[in-house]
Amino acid sequence: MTSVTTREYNPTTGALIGNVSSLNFGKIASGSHTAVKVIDFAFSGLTEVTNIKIGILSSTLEVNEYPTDIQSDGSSSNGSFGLMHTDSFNKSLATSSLSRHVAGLNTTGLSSDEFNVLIGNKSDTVSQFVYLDIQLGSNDLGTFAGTYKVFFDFE
Amino acid sequence: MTTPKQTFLLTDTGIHETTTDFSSFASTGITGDINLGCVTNDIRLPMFWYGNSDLLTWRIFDPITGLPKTYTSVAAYKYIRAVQFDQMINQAFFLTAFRDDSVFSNANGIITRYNPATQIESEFVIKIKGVTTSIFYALDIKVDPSRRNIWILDAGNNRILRCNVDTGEVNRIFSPSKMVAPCSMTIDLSSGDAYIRCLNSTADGDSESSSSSSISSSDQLFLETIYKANDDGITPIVETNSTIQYDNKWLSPSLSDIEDIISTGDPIPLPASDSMKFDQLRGKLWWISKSSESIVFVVDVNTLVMNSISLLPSLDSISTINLDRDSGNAIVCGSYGSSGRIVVVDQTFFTYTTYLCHDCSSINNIIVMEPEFGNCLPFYVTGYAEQTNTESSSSETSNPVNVCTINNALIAEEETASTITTHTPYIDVRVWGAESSGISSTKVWTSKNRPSPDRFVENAFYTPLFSWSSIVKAGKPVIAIATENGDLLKIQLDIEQSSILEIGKCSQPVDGAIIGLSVSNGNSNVYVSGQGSIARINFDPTTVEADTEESSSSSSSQSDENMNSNNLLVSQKITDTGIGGLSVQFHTISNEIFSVSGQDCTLISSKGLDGWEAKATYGPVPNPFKAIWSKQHNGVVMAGKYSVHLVKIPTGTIQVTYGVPDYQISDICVKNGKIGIAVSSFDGENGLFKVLDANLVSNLLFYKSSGESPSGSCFMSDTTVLIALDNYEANSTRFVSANFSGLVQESSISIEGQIKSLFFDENFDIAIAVFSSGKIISIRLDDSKIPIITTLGDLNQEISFAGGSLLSNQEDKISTQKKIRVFVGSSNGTNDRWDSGEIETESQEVLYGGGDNLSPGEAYWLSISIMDETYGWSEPTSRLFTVPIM
Repeated sequence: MTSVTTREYNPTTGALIGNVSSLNFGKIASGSHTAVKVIDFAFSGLTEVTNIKIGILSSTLEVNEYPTDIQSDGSSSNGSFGLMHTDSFNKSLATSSLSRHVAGLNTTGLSSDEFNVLIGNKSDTVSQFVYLDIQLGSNDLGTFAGTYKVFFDFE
Repeated sequence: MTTPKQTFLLTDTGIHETTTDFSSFASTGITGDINLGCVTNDIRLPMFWYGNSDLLTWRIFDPITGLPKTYTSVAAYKYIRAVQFDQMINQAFFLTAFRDDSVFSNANGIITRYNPATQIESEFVIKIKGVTTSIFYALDIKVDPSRRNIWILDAGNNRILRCNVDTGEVNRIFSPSKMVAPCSMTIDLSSGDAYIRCLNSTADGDSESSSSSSISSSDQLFLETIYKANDDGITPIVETNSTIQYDNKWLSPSLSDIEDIISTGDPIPLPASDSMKFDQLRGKLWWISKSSESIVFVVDVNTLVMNSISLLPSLDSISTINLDRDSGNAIVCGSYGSSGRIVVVDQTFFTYTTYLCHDCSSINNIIVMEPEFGNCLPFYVTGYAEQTNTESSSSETSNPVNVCTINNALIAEEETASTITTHTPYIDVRVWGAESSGISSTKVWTSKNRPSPDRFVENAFYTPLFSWSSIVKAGKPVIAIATENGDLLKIQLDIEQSSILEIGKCSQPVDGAIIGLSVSNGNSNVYVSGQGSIARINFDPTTVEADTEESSSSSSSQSDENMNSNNLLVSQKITDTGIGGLSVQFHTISNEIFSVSGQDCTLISSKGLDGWEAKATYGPVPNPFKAIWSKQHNGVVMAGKYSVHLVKIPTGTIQVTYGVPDYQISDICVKNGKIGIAVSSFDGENGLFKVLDANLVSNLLFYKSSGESPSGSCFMSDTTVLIALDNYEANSTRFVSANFSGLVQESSISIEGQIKSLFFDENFDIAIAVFSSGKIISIRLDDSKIPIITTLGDLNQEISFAGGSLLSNQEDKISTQKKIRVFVGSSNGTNDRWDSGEIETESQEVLYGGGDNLSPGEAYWLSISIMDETYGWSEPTSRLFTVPIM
């Protein structure tokens, strides 16, 4: 059967840390951004994965009220949730705040949702590296939680 | 067949680790009868909690070292039903169905929260609108970390609570009318949908009938119902039949049942917390049937196509189910012969493979060390405000930067709680003004509908809109009325339009005189008691039918034994006990007092009440005594003519008596252990209303009227008492509300005539009063709890009795507004300070800029009016607030 495993990498060295089932971005001050998490998705039980997308299904933090400069992969230049992707590990991306972001909340729960971000493949069954961070507003206080969801086609 | 990568078995002999193909089992060194566990991945290498019922402790097990982390022992009670780990905040939650170490008066369930980092254990306090509420015989909890929800199956109170896991505030209550014993559940963490298994004692679901046949009838089926609950409400999606029945004490136990269970040490036999699992990748809901049937069910929640397989040839008993995420196969555990057994069910072909574990005689649970979120990846982050000059400026108490930061933090916490659900009746209003020089770190709170550019907070406040119900109306109240000429009417009211919406008339005569009515919540059933009979009238909006069940002449042997036809009723009270469906207490001409609950009819007392003259009358009893089931007392509170009695169930002994020799009791009401009594002087010109404590000893509230007497109608909620006062000389009725600190608020007007019945809904602070002349009015308590009276209609005929339910459909009680208008004035209802005009928003928060119109420390009236598509514009609701001093 098809399955997907999320793997996390060291943002400084690019070394594999291990599989993860949740992302804890830690405690940060209002108005600042978190450290970047580097992950990818490995698929099993199939021969080829295409059309990999990430959407934010729920969040207690505003995802993006006024997205600007939306590019072909669906990402925007602003927003609370940084998200970028590369074929090979890019240390400079992983060690600074991200410049592309999720454009909005996936309210449909579907892969066709306009606010999903399209992620490419490193191989037939492995996604590109995905870089994630979170930017809090100056007055965003408390615990914020939600879920990313991975969508994909396979054969 | 695909199996999980790493699995631990919790068995009657301890914890065993298995190989990936279940070919061998290795002891971990943890011994004892271990039933529950849950995975935590608060560190990168997952560990799991396990509970040892012998040692009454909970510990974390580290699979890498193979050792328990002894420093994280958690005290626990014997009857823990469920354990959950909140991965967002790294805390564990333990549910105890009832406390076995408790004294008689406190056998409520308890949820214990444990923080491994601080090793602090505390009670998870559940609140409804800020008021602490109790759970009783609670059977399961599940945490939805990303939505910050915890679901609680509060079976003893016949409700399902969805709370904010951080604040404990209930954001949704589900209580479908035919739900019985919600005992286990699972959550689709992608959608937030909850799937809840309930048990019904009869196949037709009519658990409310007081004269249905014995539950031991061999041809009677037993139902399991799976409900789906989410923001849209709760609906049954699957029903299955079973030949296994549970004793009523497990379905809806009384306090004495709980005491018996604790004394005997019997385990709760209902399906356990880990008897349901949801496969998020495939949208499949799995559950196991009752232990000795060993059936596995699966349903595709999108298509509702269901499949099942009996594992009885390979399993003597079935105890738990888990899923292999990769394959979607189900792993079912139980016992076979003298060994534990694992059965892996292929999710595609529904074939299965069995594995024996000889190291134990039964497998109680299985821990699968895999991610639990499917292809959903939860995230969380904690934000905090930088205290730019906290320590160093502690002496500068007026420093605006520091104060503003703290103020914002308070708002932020409330904000998080208020945006969870549309059913939390809050609206967040922020008052803000122009930028103030020198304040650089106090930008306005990030929010929807924020005007651009940002401006700086000048002052801010947060207001719970506590009378939201007066804006978005609560369904259409339904009441039933018996007229003097023998008609039974069902009246549907339209509070918003101040009118009677519909009048239905029962087409069949009700046997005997009608002396009591009760409308059950959420449906159209009206219960009527007459001379020796109890009838259930089934109203429909368009067709009226009657279904009369003669309890006195029923063929049921139970009825013959306890309720013969000579026991003519002289008065009664029908109540919803909240734990066992319908309960009827009634008084017969031979001074016998019965309690009917479900299918049990028990003589609880044959003692007469002082001063009461039993009447074998065929007409309505003009001044019936009242008997009310009191859950807190586990007994019946009864009013005689000059005294109140607390009658202990099941012994029937009168435990406490409180006398009022100089007065006559006209009504009683019971709430949360408090007992309210309305009494009048012999001449009827003066009245008293007292609220007594649970032991009928001390006065919590004492109110005396002059020239008026309580007219036999009083109601009490958690915070409010509503009393109808009859002025006999003036032939008028006045309404008074009070709280328990002695504050009494009076209605400014009186209504002509004498009140017959009064219904009060504490959730909405709305009451309906029916007058003997047929006049029907509503009484709404404004924000200061002052009764506001509105006439709804007049039936123009004499009323003999009225009963009712104010909420025909609780799901309708709150809807999303389309527009909102906020205005602020120096006096109530004025807008001399601000007026937002109409703002089009469905958000539950509003930002409004007011410049320098408000002065710190000054009090103003905030008014809010809301428009929705169903009800149009509401009347403004006002609240007095004081602008914080920065």
